[in-house]
Amino acid sequence: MRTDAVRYAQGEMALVVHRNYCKGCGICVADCPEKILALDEHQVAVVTAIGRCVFCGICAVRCPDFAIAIDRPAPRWTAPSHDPGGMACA
Amino acid sequence: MSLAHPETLPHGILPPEAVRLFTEVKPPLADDAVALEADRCLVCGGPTAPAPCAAACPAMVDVPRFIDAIAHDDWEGAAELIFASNLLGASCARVCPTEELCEGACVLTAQGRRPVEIGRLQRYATDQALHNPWSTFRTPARPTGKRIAVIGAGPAGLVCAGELAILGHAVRIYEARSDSGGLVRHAIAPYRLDQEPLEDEVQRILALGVELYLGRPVDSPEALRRIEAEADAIFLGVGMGADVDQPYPGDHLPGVWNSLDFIEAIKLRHMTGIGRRVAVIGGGNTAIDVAREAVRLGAEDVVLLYRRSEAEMPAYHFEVEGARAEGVRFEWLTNPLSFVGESHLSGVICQRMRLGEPDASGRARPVPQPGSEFLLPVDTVVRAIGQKPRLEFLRWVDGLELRNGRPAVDPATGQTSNPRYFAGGDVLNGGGTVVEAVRAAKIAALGIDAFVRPFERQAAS
Repeated sequence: MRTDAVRYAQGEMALVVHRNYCKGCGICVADCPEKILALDEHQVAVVTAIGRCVFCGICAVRCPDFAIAIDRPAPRWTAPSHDPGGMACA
Repeated sequence: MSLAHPETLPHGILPPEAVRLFTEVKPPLADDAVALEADRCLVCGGPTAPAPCAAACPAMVDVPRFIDAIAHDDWEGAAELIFASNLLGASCARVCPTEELCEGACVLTAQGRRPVEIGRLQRYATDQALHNPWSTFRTPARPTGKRIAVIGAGPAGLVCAGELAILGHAVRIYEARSDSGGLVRHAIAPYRLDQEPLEDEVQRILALGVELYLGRPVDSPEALRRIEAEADAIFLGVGMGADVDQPYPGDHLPGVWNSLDFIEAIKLRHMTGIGRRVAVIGGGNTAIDVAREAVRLGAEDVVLLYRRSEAEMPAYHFEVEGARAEGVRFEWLTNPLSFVGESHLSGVICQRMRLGEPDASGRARPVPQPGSEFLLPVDTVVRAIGQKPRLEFLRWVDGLELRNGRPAVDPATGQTSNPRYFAGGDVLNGGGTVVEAVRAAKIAALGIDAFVRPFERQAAS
C-alpha cells in the first residue's frame, strides 16, 4: 500500500513521509519546533532541512493521517552495562 | 501529596503560604511523579542534530539518554551518564538555571507546553546513586606519574581535580578554607541547595585519589613557588574575592550586610532576626537570592533597590518573576546614598535615577536626579553588587596576562599566558553558574592532560 513514501535520512535515522496519506493540513508544519517542515506545490509535507531534525517525533504524533513516521533503528536506552553485584570496573 | 496531571503542576514558583525557610524551591519528585515526568520526554536527538536540551547544557550531559534510562527504571545507568559528563551532577541538578538552559530549550516549550523537569529528574537519578554505596562511579586510569596542583576547592577545582585523577594524574588541591566546595557550600542560597549532596560528591571525587589540603591558603608568592616546584601544571580555580566594598556613609551600622556573609550566616544557622523591613541593593541573581531568602526569614517587606530599570537587570527574568510572586517589591532607578541609624540601622537614604547614554557595558548609564532623595525605613540592608577579582594573588603568577582583572586563556584548553598555568570558573567569568565552572574545569582538565603528556598522546593516535 505505502508505495509513495519519501525517506529523509540523517545518518542511520530517518523521517519518512507517506505522501499519499498526506492531505496537507499543515499541523506538522506549524508544530515542528525546528521549523524544518513545509508543504510543497502539491500541498504535501516535505522536510526542508533534515540535518537539523532532532527527531522529537512531534510531527509523527500529531499527524492525523499517520503520514509521518520516524525510522529509528535502535532504541536510545540499552540494558544496564554495570555489574549488578556492585563490583564496578571501568 | 496528590498527584496532579503533570501538565498542570506549577513550575518553580511556590504560592506565598508555601514559602518557608529552608524549604527548597524545587523539592524532589515523588517516585510516581518521576515515572510520569520521564515518560513525557520525547527522547530527541538525531545522528547530526543533538537534542536541544543536551546542546544547551554547558556540561554536555546527554539529557535524553539519561531520562530514557530513568523511564526504563534504570536510575543507575542514568546516574552513570550524568556523572560521566558532570562530577557535580547532583549539585547542579539543584542549582542550575534550568529554565535558561536545558528546560528552556525543551521542544515541548515550542508547543506552549511545560518542559520536562530535567533538573528534578537529574536530582532523582544522582540522589539514588549517591545514597547507594555500591552504585557505579567513574574510576581512575593507570597512573601517569604526572603531578597537578589545583588551587581552590570550589566547583571548578573539584571537577578539574576529579577529571585529572580519572585521567591518571596525581592531583593535590590546596584550599584556604577549612572545608571544600567553595561558594557551592557557602554562598548558594539554602532554598536552592542546602549542602546535602555536596559532601557525597566531594567524597566520591576524593575516592578517585585526589589529595585535598584544607586550611592551606596560598598567601604569599613563596607559597605559590613551593606549589609550582612540586607540580607539572597548576589549575587556578580561585574564584573571585570578597564582595565589592563600595563605601557608603553609615555602613558600619549593625544591620548592614554583604551578600556573601548574609547567605553564609543563613546556611550556618547563625542568622538571628533580620527585622520586618529589608532592603537589598543590586540587580543580579545574588540580589534576588538574598531577597527571596529574606522573605523566607520572615521579613514582611522586602524591597530590591536597583539603579537601572527592570530591562537592564542582569538577573534571570524567571528569577525576578519568582521573587515578585513571593512578595518582593522592586524599586527601579533607585540608588542608595547612605545608611542612617543610631545604634542600629534604621533607614536608607535613596536617590531616584534616570537612564542616560549607554556606558562601556552597553547598558544605559543611570544618571542621578537631584532633589529626588528620600528615606526608606528598613531594619536590614544587604549589599549584593558583585565580588572583587583576586588581583593581588593573580599578580604573583609569572607572566600571567590579565584582561579586565581576569586571566586571559585559550578557550579551547583553559591555558593562560604562563603555559604551566590553567584556569577556570569564576576567576575567568567574573562570577557565573556552577555548571559554567564545571564546563571550564573539564576543558582545562583536557588542556592540562594534553600539556603534560603530549608525546604519549601523539604515539597513541
